[in-house]
Amino acid sequence: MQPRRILEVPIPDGVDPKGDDLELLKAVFQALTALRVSQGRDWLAKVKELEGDGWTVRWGLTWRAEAKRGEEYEEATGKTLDEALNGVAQMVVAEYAGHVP
Amino acid sequence: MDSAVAPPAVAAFRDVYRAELDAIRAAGLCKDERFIHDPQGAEIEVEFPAGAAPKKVLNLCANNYLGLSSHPRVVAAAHAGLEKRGYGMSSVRFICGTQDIHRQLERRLSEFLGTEETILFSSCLDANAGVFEALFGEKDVLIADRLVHASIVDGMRLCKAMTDTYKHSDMGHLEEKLLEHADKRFRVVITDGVFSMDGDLAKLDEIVTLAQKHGALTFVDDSHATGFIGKTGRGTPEHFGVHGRIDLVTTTFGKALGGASGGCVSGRKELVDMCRQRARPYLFSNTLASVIVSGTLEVLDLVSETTERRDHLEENTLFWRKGLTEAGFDIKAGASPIVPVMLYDARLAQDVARDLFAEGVYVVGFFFPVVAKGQARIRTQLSAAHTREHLERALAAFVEVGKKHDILGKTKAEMLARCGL
Repeated sequence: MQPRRILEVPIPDGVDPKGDDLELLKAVFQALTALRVSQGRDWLAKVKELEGDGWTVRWGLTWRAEAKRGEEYEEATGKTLDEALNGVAQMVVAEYAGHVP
Repeated sequence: MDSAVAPPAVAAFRDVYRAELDAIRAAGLCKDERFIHDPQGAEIEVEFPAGAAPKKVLNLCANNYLGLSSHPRVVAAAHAGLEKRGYGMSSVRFICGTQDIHRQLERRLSEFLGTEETILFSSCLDANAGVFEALFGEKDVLIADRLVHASIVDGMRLCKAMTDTYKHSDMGHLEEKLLEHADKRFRVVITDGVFSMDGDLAKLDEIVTLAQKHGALTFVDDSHATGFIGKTGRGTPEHFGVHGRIDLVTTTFGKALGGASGGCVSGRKELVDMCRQRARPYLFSNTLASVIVSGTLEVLDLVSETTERRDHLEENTLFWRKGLTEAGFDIKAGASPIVPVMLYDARLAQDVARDLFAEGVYVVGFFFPVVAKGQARIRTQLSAAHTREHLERALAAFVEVGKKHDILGKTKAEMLARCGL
């Protein structure tokens, strides 16, 4: 396995991203890197195989949110950050609100 | 199996699960089972702790609402079914697992519930686990009350539809959600008929009105109501005057309707027909055993012949609620035979349940995570099998134990203060 490589990207003068904006920049950069630079094109073959079977295949970037508390874990994805986080919140509420047989 | 020669992977997983089990026990959350030595009933012989001599106790924690679990006619019908249709079918329904009585039970249930069509499942948990995924997809949204049964939560997880929740029985919040999801193909409002934690009833009349106003579907799990809620025991839809107007009803045969096992989805024909084609627990799990089908058919005859049992259950519920309230217990208000006695503290709930057992009354304490934090309680459940003498005896035991723990007439704050909280 190759050693982990880190690329530093200077932030333009006068721009001071914090919190969510930093996370957004990181996520976008990682996604673009993964899409453009990652090794292998096996997924293309998978797409062709699925299309050959009659599937219409679409793919794209999505938000993924997770909540962890000790051993408890919930995760959800969504087209927007709101959708992903709402998904997690809904499942936490539904799962832990209290249920008896 | 000799653990000394177990391979490392086995030792590793044993370590992980032993540590988890130890943690569960240390936290006081272990669910120890108690062994009953006779048929289910108002009085049962219970071996607890394991190895102790069985002790006869009053049973106030079964879902045996109508007292039919060991009714002679139900037992006889089950025996007859066993003789005539055999023990097992060794098949799913659509291969070679459908007997005439399966279809007969589905028709009887549709008549009883006032629906167009019914499909049987091995349990109501299976029905809830299978129904949503079979019917709804990514264009739809499932909007559930936040206190629905755990099996509905599981079913929603298995479905590709968007999920959302509304605050417990909050109709304003439900309407907000219906408006928020107005762009969806189908919006499905999901609720229990009777909520198992507090014993309160869903506001089905208002839910149906809202659903119709917004063009949404309605789904009700009526497991804690079928057979005894409503003037003729048809469940919460009958109680609220919306019998036959719910799109999908699920219910169990494992509670009031004989208490063995099995459940169903009942409702609009096309929806039920689609479940028959697509519901995975139905397609990939064995048919409901013929002996249970036979017993449940007899139960439906019994509850259709007379309302005597459900009327007696109602009388018992009123007597029990009045008795506990007058004695100074803090109970959840309502009309269902689920009567939670609020103790708020987990340790107190366990201590009171233990002392009641010593006094000859079998109840169970519920606490987090089974109920919400700070809401520990003893859930008492009435049965038509209880006589007035049973309930008077149980009430006397509750008062005795209540005095011992100094909880009679106490508020939540006073009870928690007694526990040093």
